[in-house]
Amino acid sequence: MKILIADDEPLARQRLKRLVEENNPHHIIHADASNGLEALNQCIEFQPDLVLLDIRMPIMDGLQTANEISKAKLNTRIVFVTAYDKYALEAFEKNALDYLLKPVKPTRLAQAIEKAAQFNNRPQAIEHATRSLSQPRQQLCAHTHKGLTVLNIQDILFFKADNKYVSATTTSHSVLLEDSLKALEKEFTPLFFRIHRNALVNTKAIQSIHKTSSGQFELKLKGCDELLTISRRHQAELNRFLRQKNE
Amino acid sequence: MDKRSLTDPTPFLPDLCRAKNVLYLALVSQLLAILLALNTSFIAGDFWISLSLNALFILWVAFTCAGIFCLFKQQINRISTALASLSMLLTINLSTLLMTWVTSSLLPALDLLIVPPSGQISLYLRNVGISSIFSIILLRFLYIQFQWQKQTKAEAEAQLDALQALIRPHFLFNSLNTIASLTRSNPPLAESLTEDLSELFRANMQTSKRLIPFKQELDLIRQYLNIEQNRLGSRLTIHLDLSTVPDDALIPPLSLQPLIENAVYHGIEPTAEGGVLSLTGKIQKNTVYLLIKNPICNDSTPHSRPGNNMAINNVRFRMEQCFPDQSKLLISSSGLEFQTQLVFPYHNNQP
Repeated sequence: MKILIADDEPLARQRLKRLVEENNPHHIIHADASNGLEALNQCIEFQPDLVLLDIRMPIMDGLQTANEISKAKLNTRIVFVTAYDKYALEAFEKNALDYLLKPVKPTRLAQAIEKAAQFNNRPQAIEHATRSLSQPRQQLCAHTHKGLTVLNIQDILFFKADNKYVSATTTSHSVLLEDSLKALEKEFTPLFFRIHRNALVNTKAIQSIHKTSSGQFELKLKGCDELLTISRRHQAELNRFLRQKNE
Repeated sequence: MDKRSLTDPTPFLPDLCRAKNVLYLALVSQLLAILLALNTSFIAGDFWISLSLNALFILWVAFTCAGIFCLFKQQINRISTALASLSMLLTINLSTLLMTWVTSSLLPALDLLIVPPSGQISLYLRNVGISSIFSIILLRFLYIQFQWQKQTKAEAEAQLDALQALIRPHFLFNSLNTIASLTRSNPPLAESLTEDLSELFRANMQTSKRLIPFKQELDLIRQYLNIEQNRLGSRLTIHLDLSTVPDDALIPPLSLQPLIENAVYHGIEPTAEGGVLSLTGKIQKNTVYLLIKNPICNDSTPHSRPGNNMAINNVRFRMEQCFPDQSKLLISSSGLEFQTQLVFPYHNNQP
C-alpha cells in the first residue's frame, strides 16, 4: 500500500512513519509533507492509497487539504490525525470519517489501514464534515487537466461569474473555480465585496471609481486593465463601505 | 473552549416588561409618595388625602415610564450607559411634565393638584425638581448595581478562563506525541522533556502562590520553550535577553508563560517557515519592562486562530490584582511583527 504522511511536526511524522513500517514493512511511505499544500501536491504526484492528514498545519489546514484531494478526484483514502480538535471529531463521527488521535496507537493505526484497503471515502462526507469547520481559506485551488493551480487569496483581484463558471483573476492570470459566487462571498467577506450580480472585488485592490458617459459607474483595480461595472443596486453599498473603511 | 459563547452582560436598565420589576417600581413610587405626604401634610392633618393624590400621580408617571422603557428596552440597552441614563432621565421628567399638565390643565375639575396662588409655573417647577432629584438617585443606584454585577461577572469569567487556559489540550497531546516519538529515537531527550512537561503541569496546578520570583517563572518558560523547540524544530528560533531583569522581581505565577505560549501558538505554529520569538527585558526606575515579539502570520485574518484574547485577559486580570493601577499589558502590531509588553513595578519582598 502506498501511504502519505502529512504533519507540520517532524517528530510526529517520524513516529507515524515508524508505526506504519511496523504495521507492514512492504508499505511504500512518503513522510515529508509538512503543510497542507505539500500534502496536496504530493497526493497528486504519488497518488497514494491512503493519506494520514494532520488537521492543524500551516498554509492549508488538513480539512481544506482533504477537500481539495477529494475535488482532484484522486483515489486516495483520507484518515485525519489530530492531537485535540473537539469540533472536528464531532463532525467526523457524524459523517463516518476515520480519524486517529495523537499519540497514535499501533492497533488503531492498523484498523485504519485495514479499513482504507477495503473502502473508499465518500466525497460528500468529506465535503460535508470539513466545510462547516474550515476557516476562510488562504489559498484557492483550481483543478484542471493540466494539474493544480494555487492562488493566494490576497492576490486575487476579483471573482466573476460567467454563465456556469466562476473565474478568479490575479494580475497575471485567471482560473476557473468550482465554487459559486454566493459561497465565495460568504466565505471571503469583508475582504471581498460584491459590486455586481456577477462580480466580487478585493477591497484592498480598489484603485478608483469612474463614471462612464452613459452614467454607469466602473471600478478600476490596481494592476488590472479591465474595468468592472458596478451595478446601480450595489453602488450605494460600495460607497458606504469605502467611507467606513476610510474612517 | 474556543467556541465558548459569552452570555450577554446584565443590562443597565432592568427589564420593565417583567411584572416583578414593575412591582418594584410601584413600591419605590409609593415610598416617594409617603415621603412627600409626610413632609407636606402629616402635621396639617390631611395626610391620607395627600398620600393618595401623590401616590396616584407618581404611579401614573412611573407606569408611563415603565411602558416606554419596556417598549424601547432593546434600543436603550444598545446605547452607552451615559446616553441611556440621559434618555431615561429625560423620559421620566417629560412624563412628569405631561402628567402635571394633564392633571392641572386637562382635568382641572377633578382638582387632583392644588394649584398654588403663584400660578402653574411653580407647580411645574416643583414637580420637575422632585422627579429630577429622585430619578437621579434611582439611576445612580441602578448604575452602581450594574457596575457591581459586571465586575462580579468579569471576576467569575476570569477564574473560569484561568482554569481553562492553564494548558491547551492541543499542546499537551502534541507534547506527549513528541515524547512518544523520542522514546525510541532519543530516549534521554524524551526523559528530559517528560520532566519539563511535569514541571509545567506542577506549576499550573499550584495556584495557591500569589507571587513568585521572576527567576522561577523564567525557568518555567525555558522548560516550556524546550518542549516547543523539539516539537517545532527549525521553525522556532528563540531569542532571550533578560540579563538585566532582577531574578528576585516578584511576579504572579504563570503571568509571562501564557503570553509566550500565545506567541508560539499564533505567531510561529501557523506559519510554514516559522520565525523568531524574542523575549527581552529591562528594569528602569524600579519598573520592569518585558517585551515579547513574534512574527504576524501572513493570512487574510490577522488572528485566524481562536481563543486569542483569553490568555491575555487572564494575565491582565491577575496582574491588576497583584499590582493595582501599576501594571500594564500592552499589545501592538507593526507591519510584520506582533508585540506584547508587560510592565510592572519591581518588588522583591512579599507584602
